[in-house]
Amino acid sequence: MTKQKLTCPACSCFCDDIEVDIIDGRIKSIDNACLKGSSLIFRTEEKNERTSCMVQGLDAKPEQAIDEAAKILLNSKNPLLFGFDHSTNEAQLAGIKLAQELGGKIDDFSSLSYGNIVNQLINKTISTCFISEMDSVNLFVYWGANPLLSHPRHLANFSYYANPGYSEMSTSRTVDLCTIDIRKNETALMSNPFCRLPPRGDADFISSVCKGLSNNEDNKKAKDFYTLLHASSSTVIFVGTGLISSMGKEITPLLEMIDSLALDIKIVPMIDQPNMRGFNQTLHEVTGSVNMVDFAGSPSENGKISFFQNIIDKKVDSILIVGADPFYKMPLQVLKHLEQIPIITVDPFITDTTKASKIVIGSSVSGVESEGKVIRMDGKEIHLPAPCPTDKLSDVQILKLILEKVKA
Amino acid sequence: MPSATYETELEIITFGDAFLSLKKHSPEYNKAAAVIYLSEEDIKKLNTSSGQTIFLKNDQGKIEAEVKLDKTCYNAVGMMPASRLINKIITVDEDFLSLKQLKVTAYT
Repeated sequence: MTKQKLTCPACSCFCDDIEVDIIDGRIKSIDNACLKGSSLIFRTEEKNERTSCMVQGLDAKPEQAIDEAAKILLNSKNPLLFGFDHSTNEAQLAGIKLAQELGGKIDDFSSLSYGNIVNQLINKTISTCFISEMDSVNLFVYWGANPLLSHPRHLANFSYYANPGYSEMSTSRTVDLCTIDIRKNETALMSNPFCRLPPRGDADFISSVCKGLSNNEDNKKAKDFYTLLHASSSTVIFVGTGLISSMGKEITPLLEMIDSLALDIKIVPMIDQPNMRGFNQTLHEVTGSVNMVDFAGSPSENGKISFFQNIIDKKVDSILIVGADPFYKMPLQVLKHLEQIPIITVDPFITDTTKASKIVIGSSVSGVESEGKVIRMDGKEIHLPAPCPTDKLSDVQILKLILEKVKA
Repeated sequence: MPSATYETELEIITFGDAFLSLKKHSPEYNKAAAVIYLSEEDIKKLNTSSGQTIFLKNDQGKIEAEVKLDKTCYNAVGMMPASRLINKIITVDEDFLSLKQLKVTAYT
């Protein structure tokens, strides 16, 4: 038995203190991982949860599935590549090159969530910081986020509990935890203060905070939050999907609030898909856009048309999905439009999407069975080692093989 | 369709629950996903109580969910975990870049 370090690939925290016991090349026990992380890591050992290669529901060899995938993509006029948020940066780059070669579209889930914020972070129009630079922070705000359910070790490893100002004794604690959300979620229960906002009430709340103390008689919550921000010498606001959906993916009012307060406030997105930020940055490096890119024109353009809209408008005639499960996450109203479109899926696990796919190509699990680089939610590049190498192809290998076939 | 004796209009807000999605291949998933948190007032309006089942319908379809009391929940708002179940009635906005505000009729 050997004990090895593993960087957990389950969420965008990429906790690097995971230890696994390996016997005969397979994981037998895990230390330090949360339930979400250990569930993903143990799933790699569950043969009945892993994908094999399939063509139209029948078992196939990887070469045959890759060959069929390339044929479908080559024969389609408007291919769409989607997902990549669980893939390494290397696989994302291979996917972008494939989309370029095909003259197709490429997008990920960020077009429905964090795309705008990450775009502004990359363009440095939002003040942010790495997690390693948060020691001097004395106020952590989770806004529209519930890390205890989405990123279970975030508080312990990166923010509140990891901060030097945290003490078990509240009297000697010099760091505060604040949650702003529509519901008193699990994180809110341990926060002080917790600001409960009504549906789509975030913009009004921000506007009230901007007014400060004197012109804000009616809004105690906003005044309290304003006072809290002013009492803190350094604040980090973790922006969650609750805030983004409340404000229609547009966080300009929040940025204006930060500007008007003229305080040391940094923004970090609570990205839920593990390597969504990696996809955004990799695509931005190639095209200047973080998502929704259409390579049909020259030069590539940000088509500003999301995955959903492309499907509903019937603007695609084949879809390659890599490491994403849109069939689990999409409304039935959208799924109905996919019935006639051939879907090729590259994924290590059986998902709702693989079940609906014409071609499935089983891949290795990035960060467990194959290595690569990813970008953590704070923008730091992380290397994922592969403590349990496998003979399964990695997603980057699969995408490169499809690209070779397409070019041939 | 059963006759709607008591009904009220609700806006459904979904929230992510990573632990629910971990169960997505297990038999207990459907039960765990079919939960709606309501305010005391809405529970009274529906003449129901925690643990009882209510129906939610809109032009996309109809689902059932078990009521749970959340005293911090706003009136006329139902909180549900994001899941395959709620995806059955979620509607997409006209520009398709975001999900539509999800309004349903709840009835018992």
